[in-house]
Amino acid sequence: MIVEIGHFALVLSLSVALVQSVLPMFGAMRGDQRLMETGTIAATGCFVLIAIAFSALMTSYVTSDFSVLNVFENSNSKQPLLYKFTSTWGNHEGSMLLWVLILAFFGALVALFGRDLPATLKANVLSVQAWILTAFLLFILLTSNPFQRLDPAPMEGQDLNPILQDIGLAIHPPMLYLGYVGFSIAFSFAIAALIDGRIDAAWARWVRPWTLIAWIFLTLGISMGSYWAYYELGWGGWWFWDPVENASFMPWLAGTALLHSALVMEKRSALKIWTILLAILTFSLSLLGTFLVRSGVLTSVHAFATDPTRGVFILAILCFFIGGALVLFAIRASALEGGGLFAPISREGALVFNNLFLTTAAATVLVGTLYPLLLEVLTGEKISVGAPFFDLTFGPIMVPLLFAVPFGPLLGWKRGDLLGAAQRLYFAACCALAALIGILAYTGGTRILTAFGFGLAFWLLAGSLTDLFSRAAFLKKGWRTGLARLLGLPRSAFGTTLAHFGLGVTLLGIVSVSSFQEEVITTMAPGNSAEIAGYTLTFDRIAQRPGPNFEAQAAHFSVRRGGVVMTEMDSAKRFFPVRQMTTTESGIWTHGFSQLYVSLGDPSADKQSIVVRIWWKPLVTLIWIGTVFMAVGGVFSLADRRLRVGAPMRGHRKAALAEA
Amino acid sequence: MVFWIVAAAMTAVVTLAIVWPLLRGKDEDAHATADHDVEVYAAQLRELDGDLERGTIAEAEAATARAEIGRRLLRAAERARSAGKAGRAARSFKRPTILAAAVSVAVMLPAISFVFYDTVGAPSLPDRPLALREQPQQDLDLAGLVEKAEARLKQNPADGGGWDVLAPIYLRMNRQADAAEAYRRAIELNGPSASRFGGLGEALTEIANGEVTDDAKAAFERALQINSSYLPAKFFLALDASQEQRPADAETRWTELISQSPPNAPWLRIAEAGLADARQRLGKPAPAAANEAPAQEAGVAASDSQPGSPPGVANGEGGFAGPDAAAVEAASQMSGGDRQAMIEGMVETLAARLKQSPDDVEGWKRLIRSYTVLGKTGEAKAALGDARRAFPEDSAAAREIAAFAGEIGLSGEIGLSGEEESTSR
Repeated sequence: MIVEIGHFALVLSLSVALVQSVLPMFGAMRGDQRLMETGTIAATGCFVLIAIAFSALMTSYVTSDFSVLNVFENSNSKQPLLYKFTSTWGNHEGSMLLWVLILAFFGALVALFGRDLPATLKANVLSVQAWILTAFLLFILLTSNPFQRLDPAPMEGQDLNPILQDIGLAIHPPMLYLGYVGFSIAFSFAIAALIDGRIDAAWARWVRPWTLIAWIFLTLGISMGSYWAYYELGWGGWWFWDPVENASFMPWLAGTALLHSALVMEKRSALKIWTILLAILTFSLSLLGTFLVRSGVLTSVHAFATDPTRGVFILAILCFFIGGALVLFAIRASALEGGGLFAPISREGALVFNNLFLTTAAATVLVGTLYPLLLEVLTGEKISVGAPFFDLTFGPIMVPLLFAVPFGPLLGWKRGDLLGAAQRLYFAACCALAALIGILAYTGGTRILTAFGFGLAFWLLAGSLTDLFSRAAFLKKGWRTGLARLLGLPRSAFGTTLAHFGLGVTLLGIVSVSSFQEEVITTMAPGNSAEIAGYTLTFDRIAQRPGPNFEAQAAHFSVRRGGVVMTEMDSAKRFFPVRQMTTTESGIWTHGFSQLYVSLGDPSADKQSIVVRIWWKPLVTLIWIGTVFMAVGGVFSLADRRLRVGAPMRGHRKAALAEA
Repeated sequence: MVFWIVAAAMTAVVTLAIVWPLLRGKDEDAHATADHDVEVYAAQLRELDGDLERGTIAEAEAATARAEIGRRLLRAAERARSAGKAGRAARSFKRPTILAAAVSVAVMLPAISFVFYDTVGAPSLPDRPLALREQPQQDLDLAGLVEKAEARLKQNPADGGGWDVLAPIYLRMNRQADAAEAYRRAIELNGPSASRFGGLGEALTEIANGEVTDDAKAAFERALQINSSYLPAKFFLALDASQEQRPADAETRWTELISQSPPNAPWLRIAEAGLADARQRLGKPAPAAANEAPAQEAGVAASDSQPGSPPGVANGEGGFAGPDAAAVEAASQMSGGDRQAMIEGMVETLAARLKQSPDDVEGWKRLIRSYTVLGKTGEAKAALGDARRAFPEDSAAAREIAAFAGEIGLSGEIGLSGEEESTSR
């Protein structure tokens, strides 16, 4: 009965979403408080109902109720409990349900914490949000119903895809979806403004925190996905320019741009129309990402063609929302009021520069992702666009942007002093130069690009700190006053610094790994040793270890330096009999910020030895640590007191607003 | 039923919650959009001072910015004033419009939900979590299974399929009264069918200790009306003729049954015995060896072996080979040849059933023991081999069978031959 109650709740939420699509917007047209009020209740109701549906599905997974087709196809009674939970979203239907759950969650947040929003804006936003919700609920119920039943129930399920049976995947998709779907709020706000024909002053103040929340989750989600691919796929790479990765990276680039342009809009009421467009584009890229991943178009264009129901449905949703939004934009944008003026060299100008480069970068990734697909559809030719393309296009676009990052926060609003900013960055320039020369000396002058990369990374690290340092005026006013001034700075200043610093940290990791990584691929038998980066890796033994739903073949290694045992590590391959699949569990030893990475290949013909791939990855962890800095920066920015302003004469409610 | 109550409750709560604010009277006072704008611009002005103090904006730029924001602030304040004057109640929808909206929500929301759910949902399908399905695998205990089925039928006595499944099982468990009742429910809920009436007749016959009562006879006749070639019913009707001392009728019926039965039908030997008995009474020469066995006894044994029932679960106290005293006694009153034939017939039935559904440890054990008792060691070994093949090598069932083989002294040589077969496969 639980299953069917979940199913019914999902259907019911569709009807509620339909009501929410219509009534609040009608209310907003005439300013009718009663009709607008229904939006708040319906949005909350939708969330509760979808949460019931999701819990029902999760219950089925945890109790291994194989009378649900989806549970039968994607789980197994012998899975550890954690993966029974995560199986819920480790498949198409379940993950789409998670998608709408999060969509409804954000809708409910706006409904509950948006009390201080202008009533018409809130009603319009909730209605637009409900349109998206309705479209995706229909998609789920008509083409991807997770509550499809099986009668009689089979005894055993087909297991979750083994590579998804991992803690990284337990958290990665919800994070990613919180990011993707979070941008729907910015989108709804944009559409609401376009429908209303005016942009409230509070608009940007409202859009920015939502964008920030989404951006924080997306950042962490992408980062976690990258780390998961790094250790689970056993290839030792951390980013593959895979279409699935690009699908999440494009909204991130656009979202980052949106974050910055919303800042201009919030503070200076400038760039209004551009921000609206960016909000539309960001969510459109999220939808595109969902389409790419969920339609099956990536696995094979042909598979998509043979069973096009889902793909065509999502494509229709995509066209409706993106097309509709852009048309609305084209009609209405000219009617919108422009914003404040500013000189090219100014904080606003720097943020425009940022936007320009980030959107171009996003466009580049878009081309690199879609071109192979289009080519295959049109000519049947299969090409893969990988790292070389992106290194040549994405890289050069990012370099000037990264170079400009430290300047931005140092420029004044309206008209900035570039020379003054450059002077303040004197110290950062010295750091960068020192790093550059140091690397050149270390490599004997052969690695000019590497040296340049390190220089850029240190320029970012030192440059992002410069803002705080000079604002606190340690040199002018002494340490004590400086510290007091530092603590008195608004939290958003720390946010900026942390996020930009994190960018530098990530860049340092990337440059270091791509330049100084060492790799050994060799065949080893127990007792053999291999040398890498000054470490001696000895293959001690290999053993069979049974797992709950797999058989593991674990190789044991000991790592020595100068004869002293530094650590021991296991690298394993797991065979999952139900799916007849093998996964690698790489052995990773973290030493400082660097890692020694061992993964097992195929055994030799006589089974006496096995192919072992060993990498030394200097400073590799910085790649992910940097993203954590960025996310923490986002949290600081979110906590800034200034975001709490926006409601007339309701001081006591401001705290609630900020929490949203 | 519970499901529909929950579903209706959810729908009612959601519908009411949405309709409720619509039924309220007057608008509450709300701030005009312009009020919000005023607040935002005022905040921008305050922040501008902060920025100026921190030096993130130059003095001259701050002045122009202040002027810019100030202009917007004034405009917003003007809008807020005029909005306040105009009063917004006039712009709201009239009450009938709102009521129409409320009614359409109250009608459409449940309607759409239930119609849509009806097309995609499966409301009658219960949950099947593993915990519920795993038990039968852990112990093939029939009584436990039956208890579960009974509990389910108690909740949902209108589940005709459940009665259909349970009835023959009752029959096999010698719960004839329950079986008769279950068949009656099945007929009532699922409609008449030859096998249901046949089963009912069989149950009634067993209740009467093997005598085909009038009720039973009526049931068998109904079965034959529905399916004129339903052999089990014919068997019992022939038996009835023998029991009631109508040798002429019995002769026709037995002859007809024998001619229509497949050559390996389990009831053939009894039918032949019955035919011989009838002919003897009529003074005709018996077709085969002289048969002195009273048909009554043959009837009891036959109903024990349940000729008409589908293969499935073995008779708990079945009289296959010796274990059941009553069956042995019944058999002992037959002539030597007939007894042997009857027993062999039953053993063959069992063997045939195990070939079809080999997943029955007890059945295999009984079959092996039967062969041993009959002195057919070769067949016993073959059956043991078959039994071993029927179960995975290290399953509990396989171990049980091996242990059983050891008990009756078949283990050593059979174990070897079993292994040889498994490796050769």
